[in-house]
Amino acid sequence: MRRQPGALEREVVAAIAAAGEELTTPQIHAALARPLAYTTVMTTLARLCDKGVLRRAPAGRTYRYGLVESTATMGAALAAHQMRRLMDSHEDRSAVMSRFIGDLSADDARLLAQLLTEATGAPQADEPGGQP
Amino acid sequence: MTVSALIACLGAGIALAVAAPVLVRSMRPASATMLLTAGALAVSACAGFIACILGFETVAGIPFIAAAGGWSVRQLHGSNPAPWAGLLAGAVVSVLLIRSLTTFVGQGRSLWRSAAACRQMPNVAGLVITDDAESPHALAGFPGRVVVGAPVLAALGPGHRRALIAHEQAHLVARHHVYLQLVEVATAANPILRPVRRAVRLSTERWADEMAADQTGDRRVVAGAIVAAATSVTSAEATTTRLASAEDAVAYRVRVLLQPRRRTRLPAAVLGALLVIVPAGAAAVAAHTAEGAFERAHAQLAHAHPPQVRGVHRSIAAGDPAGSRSHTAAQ
Repeated sequence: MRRQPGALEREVVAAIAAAGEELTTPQIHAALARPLAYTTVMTTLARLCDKGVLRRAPAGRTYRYGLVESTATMGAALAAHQMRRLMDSHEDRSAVMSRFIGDLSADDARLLAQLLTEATGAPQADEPGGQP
Repeated sequence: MTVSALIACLGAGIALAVAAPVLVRSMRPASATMLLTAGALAVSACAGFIACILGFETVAGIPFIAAAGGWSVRQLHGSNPAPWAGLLAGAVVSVLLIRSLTTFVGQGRSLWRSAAACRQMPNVAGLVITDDAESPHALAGFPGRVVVGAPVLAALGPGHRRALIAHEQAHLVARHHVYLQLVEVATAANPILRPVRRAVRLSTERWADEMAADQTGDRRVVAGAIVAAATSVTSAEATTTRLASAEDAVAYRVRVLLQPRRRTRLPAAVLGALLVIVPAGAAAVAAHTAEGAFERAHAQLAHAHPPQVRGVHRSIAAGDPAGSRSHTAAQ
C-alpha cells in the first residue's frame, strides 16, 4: 500500500463536507474508512486548523469542526473558471459576451453592472460626491 | 517508394487504432497508456513527415522550381510516378499540420488556464468541494485540484469516499492530462487515430482505479465507489448524450476491479517497439529514397551541364537530418 501525502487530510475534509454540518472529533473518527488511532485524527484536525482550512468551536469536552470555505464559494469559483474556459473555446469573445449580456434578466444585468463598477473601482454616475 | 512508405505508416496507424481497445484490455493500464501515446505520436509524426516528402517531390517537379534547385525534371518524374498523390498528400498534410498546431496551442492554453484557476480557487486541503452534484474530476495544475460535489460525497459511505478521492488524486499524481493532451494533438494530426484517443481515456481511468486500489488496499471498495459515484451523478446529468459509452466504460472498469489483478498478457516491450519501429522505419526509407532520387536528378543535370557547381544543393536533397537519424536507429 503506497501512501499519498495529504490523503488523510482530504478524507477528513470530505467527511465534514459530506455531513453538511460541523462534526465533533469522535464523529469524524467514525466517518473515516480506516482503523486509525484517535490521536492521529486529532493531530490531523489540529494541523488543518493551523492551515486555516478548518475552524473549530468548543463543544463539551471536545471540539466541533467545520469548513472555513463554504461549498458555495468553492462552487462559484469553479463555475467562473468553467465560464472563462467556455469563452476561450470560441473565436469571437465579444459575440459570446454580448449574447450572454443580451439574455440576462433585468436583475442579473443590474447586479453585473454593480459588480463591474465595484471591480473597476470607478465611481457610479448617479452617486454624488464620487468625484473628488 | 515514398507512397508505399506512407501506406505502411498509415497501415501502422490503422493497426494501432484497431488494436487499441484490445491493448487496453490486455495490458497493465500504465503500460497501455504510455504505449498507445507513444504509438500515436510516432504514427502521426512519421506519416506527416512522409507526406511532406511526397508533397515536396511533386513541387520540386515543377520546371522552374527544379531549375532553381538544379534537378533534372525528367529524372524526378521518373522516380515519382504519381504526382497527383504528392499534391494530395501535400494538401492534406498542410491542413492536418495546421490543425495539430492549433490543437497543441489550445491544449497548452487550457492547461495554463486550469493551472491558474487551481492556484486561485479556494480549496480545502487540495479539494474543491462544490454544492452541486457534478461528476467528480481532477483539474490539472501545479498542484492540481480534485473537484467533487458535496451531494456526491454525501451519497457515498466512508470507504467509497476515500476510494473516489484516491482515484481523482491519482489522475493528478500520475499526470494523466499529459498523455491525454499528447494523444489529442496526435489525433488532430491524424484522424484515423481517433479510437486510440478513446482507448487512452479508458486506460487512464483504469490506471487511476488501480492506484486507488493500491492505496485503499481493496479492489472491491474501488469498484463500489465507481458505481456509487456514477449513480449519484447520473441523476443530475441524465440528459447528456455521452453517457451511453461512459456507462460501458464504467461497467468494464467495475468488472476488472472485481477480478483479481491480472498479469500482462501481451509483452508490452515487443509491441511498443513494433509500433514505433514500423512508422519510424517507413519514414527512414522514404527519406532515404527521396535523398537518392534528388541526388540522381541533380547528378543527371550536372552531367548535362558540366560547368555548374556540383554538390551545392545536395544538402537540400539530403532532406531532414531527423530522418537519417531514425534510419540508423531502425537498422
